[in-house]
Amino acid sequence: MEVTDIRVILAPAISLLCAALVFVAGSNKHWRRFWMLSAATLKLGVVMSMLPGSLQGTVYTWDMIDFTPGIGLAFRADALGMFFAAVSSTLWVITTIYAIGYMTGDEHRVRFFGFFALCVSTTVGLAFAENLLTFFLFYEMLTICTYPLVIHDETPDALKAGRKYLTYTLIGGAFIMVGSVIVYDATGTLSLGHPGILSAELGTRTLLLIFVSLVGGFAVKAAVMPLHGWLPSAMVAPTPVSALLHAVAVVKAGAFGILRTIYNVFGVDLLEEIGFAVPLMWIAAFTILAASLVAIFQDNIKRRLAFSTISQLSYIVLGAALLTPFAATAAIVHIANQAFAKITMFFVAGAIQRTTGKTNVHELAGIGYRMPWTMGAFTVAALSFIGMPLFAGFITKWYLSLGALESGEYWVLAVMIASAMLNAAYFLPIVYLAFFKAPPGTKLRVAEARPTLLISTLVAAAYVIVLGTTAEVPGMPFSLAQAAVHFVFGM
Amino acid sequence: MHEAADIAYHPLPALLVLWPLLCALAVRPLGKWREDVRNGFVLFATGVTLLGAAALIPVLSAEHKITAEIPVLIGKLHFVVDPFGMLFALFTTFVWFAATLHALDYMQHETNRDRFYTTSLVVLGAMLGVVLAGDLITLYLFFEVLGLVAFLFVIHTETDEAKRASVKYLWMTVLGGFSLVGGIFLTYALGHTGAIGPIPLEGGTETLRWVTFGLLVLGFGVKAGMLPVHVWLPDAHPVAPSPASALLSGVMIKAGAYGIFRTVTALFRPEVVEEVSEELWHMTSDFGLVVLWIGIATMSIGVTLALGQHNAKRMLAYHSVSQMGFILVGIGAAGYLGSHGAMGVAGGLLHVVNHALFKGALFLGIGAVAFRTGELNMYKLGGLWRKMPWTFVFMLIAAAGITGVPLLNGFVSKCLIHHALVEAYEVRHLMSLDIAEKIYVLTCGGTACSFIKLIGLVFLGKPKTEYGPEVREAPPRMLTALGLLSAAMLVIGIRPHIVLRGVFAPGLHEWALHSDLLEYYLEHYFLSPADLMSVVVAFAIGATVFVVGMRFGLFHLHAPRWFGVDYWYGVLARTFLRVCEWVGGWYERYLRFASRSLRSIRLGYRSMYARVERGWRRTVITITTGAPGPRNQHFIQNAYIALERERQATVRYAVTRAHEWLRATPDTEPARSTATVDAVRDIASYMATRQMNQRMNVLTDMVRTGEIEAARHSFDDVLAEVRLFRDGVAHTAIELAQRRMTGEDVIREISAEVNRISSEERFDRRLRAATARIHPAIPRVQSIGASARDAMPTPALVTEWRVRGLGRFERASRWLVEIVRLVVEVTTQERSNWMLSDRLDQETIIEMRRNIQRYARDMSFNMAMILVVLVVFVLSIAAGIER
Repeated sequence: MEVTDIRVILAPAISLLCAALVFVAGSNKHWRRFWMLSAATLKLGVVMSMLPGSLQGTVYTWDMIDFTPGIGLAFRADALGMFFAAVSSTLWVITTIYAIGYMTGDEHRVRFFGFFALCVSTTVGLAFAENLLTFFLFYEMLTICTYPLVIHDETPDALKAGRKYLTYTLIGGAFIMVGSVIVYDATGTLSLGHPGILSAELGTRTLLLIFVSLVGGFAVKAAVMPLHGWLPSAMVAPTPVSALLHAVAVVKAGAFGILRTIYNVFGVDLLEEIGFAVPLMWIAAFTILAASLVAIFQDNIKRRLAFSTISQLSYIVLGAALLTPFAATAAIVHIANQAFAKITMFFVAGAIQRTTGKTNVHELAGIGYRMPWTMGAFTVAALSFIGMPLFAGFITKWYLSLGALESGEYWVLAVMIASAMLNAAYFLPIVYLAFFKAPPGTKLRVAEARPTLLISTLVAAAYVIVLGTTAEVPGMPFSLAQAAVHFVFGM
Repeated sequence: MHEAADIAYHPLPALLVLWPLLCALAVRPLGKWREDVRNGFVLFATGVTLLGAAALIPVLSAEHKITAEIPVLIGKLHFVVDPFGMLFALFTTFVWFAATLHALDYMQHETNRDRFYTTSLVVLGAMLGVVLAGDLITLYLFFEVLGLVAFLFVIHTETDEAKRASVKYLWMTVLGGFSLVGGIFLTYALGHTGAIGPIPLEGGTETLRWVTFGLLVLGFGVKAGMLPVHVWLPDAHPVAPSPASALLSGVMIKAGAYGIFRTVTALFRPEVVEEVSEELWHMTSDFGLVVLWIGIATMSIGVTLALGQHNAKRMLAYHSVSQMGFILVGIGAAGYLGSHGAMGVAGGLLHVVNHALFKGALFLGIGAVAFRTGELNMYKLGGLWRKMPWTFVFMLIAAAGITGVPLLNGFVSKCLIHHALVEAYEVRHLMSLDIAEKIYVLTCGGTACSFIKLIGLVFLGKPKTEYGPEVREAPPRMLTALGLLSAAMLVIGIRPHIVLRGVFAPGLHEWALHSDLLEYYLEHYFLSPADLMSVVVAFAIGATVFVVGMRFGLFHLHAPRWFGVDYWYGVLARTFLRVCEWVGGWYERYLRFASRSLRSIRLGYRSMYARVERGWRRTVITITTGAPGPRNQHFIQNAYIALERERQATVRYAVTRAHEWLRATPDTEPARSTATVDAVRDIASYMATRQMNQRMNVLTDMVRTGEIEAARHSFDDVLAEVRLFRDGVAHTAIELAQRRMTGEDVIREISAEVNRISSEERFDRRLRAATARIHPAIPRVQSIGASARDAMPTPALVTEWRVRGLGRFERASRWLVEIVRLVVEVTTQERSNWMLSDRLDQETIIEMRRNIQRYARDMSFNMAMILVVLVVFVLSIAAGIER
């Protein structure tokens, strides 16, 4: 059932308004905080108010402008989009609180928070995009809005990273545009509201061209190897930005784009028939393992997390490429699972950096005695990535493995297990160092991060557990993912 | 699997699992408040769990099988309790209670007591979760919780040894967990369900089943201390506090045994119905044989290694490995015998219970000894039976239990396993099983030997050292714990009927195995002469080995390190790390390659851009000024750099000379000499700058008049010539510096000296002369620029005016003069600190200055263009008006 509803554009518009207010009247820190927090909660409220309807299968739509008949800005909140929007607006609230605590005393805060809000606005717009054009528009806006955040510190390193980021993503964006144009040329529509708009009659060459340009374009942001180069170097950004880049906005936009391409542009049946997904599957599996191997020897915490992100994102790609309902469920829920666990880790890294000034793994010995709660949160996230049951990551691994078995790709199981092992190999030493390697002879006192940092970290960690334990509870995001899968697979 | 009808719903299992977990939350706050209240609470919580487990007995006798659910995770956590599960729950809670009782005293001399008790309760909950689990997910969940939280037991003392052991433990547990989860996934693939019940025979290929089986057994086996993945166990169990060792060795490794038991007898077996054709069992019997042989290897190697230990707890830990071998043999035989495997099931599981009791008691007893004496090395103890009589009695009972003395529990289970082994041999008369049986008896002998050694060395004989007054009987609570366990051992030893009839008969019936074999055993074989004889044989072997070993010191022999599987795991881990490093290095190389190629692209683009830009600039210059041509411009740039270098060299030269001069002058105080050098540097740089400007002006003028075309060839020579004047500058600078130090104003002298040196130098004339030498045909006219330069009011001139008192003129042109002075200052940088720029990259500064000049020129061109456009605009408007 499709309903025209203003809330679909209200959600991005609130963030947009917030950004405008911050830019215009954000020099006073109290007002700025007020705008940020009220907009974040308000938007979360708006998105959540659509959740019950969405769970019952209602699709909210809103057509804005038609540039020419058939092409225009249009929004449509289906289950998949709702899932993404719910995740990003929840995380926005947490990250805002964290960022307020983190950026205290920093320079250019107006610019920072303004673009911060803009990013979230575009992310939600992207989630609700009804057609490839709208999608593309928000996708590119996202790129541009995150640039000032990446270069926030304006050090030569930051500027260089920003340039690299722009180069990578804008070139990726160009490919997406090319792909969209070919799609429109071939089918006369750009709509994302169907389980597939292409058909096999177009011929393999056209289809291949579309597949490569769309998936290749999105894969840049999804940091699929070898297109991942921008992500580790973008680590120079302030921690809330890294968290946002990694967990919510940018990389997930790429992954979400791949999901949209596979499920809504091509459609599962067509891909099954033409078999393009198989190489993608291999690339994703390679990325999962290779990035993890690289991560093991990274000493900088954020850099290690960055490679972990690269590895984790490919779970989504792998899940999508497996083309089975279980794997699709895994791919979709991993958007949330990875987001919460990774944001927890970044929050922890940031909190440690702000509280003790430490940025490298080897300096963390005994930090668990100083910041037990923070490192507790880190442990939760680490266990989630390893795939311990009761934590969010397990759900992904479980469904992904089931999906792999469903499609008969037994080797994926080996990849899963190897990846879990590698995750253990680069996260558990940190936990061990923190809790059991106190430098001898010193009495360490508890000195936690400031409350705003700590609370948001703990909330994110709590979400990891909640997502891991309540998957089957009706009304949780998991059911949205299942609704999306049902739509995609026509079940 | 089963019809839903015969499973009744009952909340007890769920409560049993949740209760300790919830209690664990309260430990820390209570412990912060009052220690004794916390102790009481922990004991109470464990006691309630024990009672809860006991309450399963009546419930289960009424219902046969009960189930419970907690809605969590993917769907729900299922709990299903059958008699076997109940048995595990019972002995778990019982041993836990005893160990907790023991810990109350023991932990007094350990730190982090809150953490210990919290861990204890969480692990208890997890352990119960494992044995009561109704499906594989639930089982896996609690298995992982158990494994990871028990890490805190191992590392408890936080000594280096404990840390090493715990890291090893953690990795083995984590790897085992992955193997297990892989096996569980494949089970799903085979049977499309996670229930602990037979996997349908039609699903999957033979290979897949073997892989599944292998992964499951490996996953559970790590926890069970199965060979060859037992390596963590002898390290981890001894380093924990004794109550924790008792729990680790007595109870927690049973989670692994439980898993293997369920894998063999519940997952890989035909449908649970009364009549199953024997062919369907063939795979189960294959799997059983594998497990049986793993068990034989584990038990024999475990006992061999145990014999060589000095540390009592380490020896007990190796015995845990060995005893797990017994259990695996029982389970394997059960699988091998298929529907007739009752003897194996009963033997294996009864041994699980028994091992929990006697190994718990042994660890607690040794803990009591360590608590009083602080010594764990068997060879350093002795004669303790006088000091700790009750501990001795209980230890003796436990040792008798583990060695299989009749009327104690170990005897029953060992005989049952032995019977199962013999029975297995008789089915197909496999030679290998005959050998297995022989090894079994030998192992029993080895066990006997070990414990003769333990009791003999620790409690009997003469004390090796003088014991102080602190060595006395263990505290009453420890003795109570030991007494409880010993009583249970005696009960099972004397009346095994209770367990065999009460638990195993219904349990076997539940899984449609023939349970009448047990009845047969109890009637015909229990305490039969043949079985008693075998115990005598075992003890004879044991005593012989002990005597021979002690006499010839065989117990101190150790195999080389590479002989152990542990060593090879180390090699494997290091190789893995090296591979990771290699991948990392490879990645770095890739990054470097990528960035290098990107950079070369970028540089290529830049140089192209620069070339285009240069062309454009040349065009602009040609249009605006016509001169200097690009070649001249280039020359001027180079000359500028060369002159600048010369200037700096001059300053440096002067400073060096100043230093030399100071060295030659004795008795100069350091502060004064520093000041002198600074003054010399100031003066020299001022002079050199002036000098350079004049030379530059000469060059510019010559460029403008076109003479330079010739002069360019002689420039370098001339520059080499004028190097001589450095000396003059340095000399003057040192001289004037001294004067300045006395407070004299020397500015005029400096100017005069500069002028003098310049007139001596006559840079232009030298250039021309050199040019004339090379190109005598080009005598050119002096430029107007030179005279213009002379007319410029130099700062010196201005000062002169001021001195002469040209007041009116000065007032009228004050601001103009000021601006001129500023401009001169800025462009010549005479007051700027040359030391600073010396520290900077000189090329960069020069480059920057050039850029500013170039920019100014471009700007002027742009302005001119705008003017032209404006004029054209105005003209066209004017023309429009006219029209």
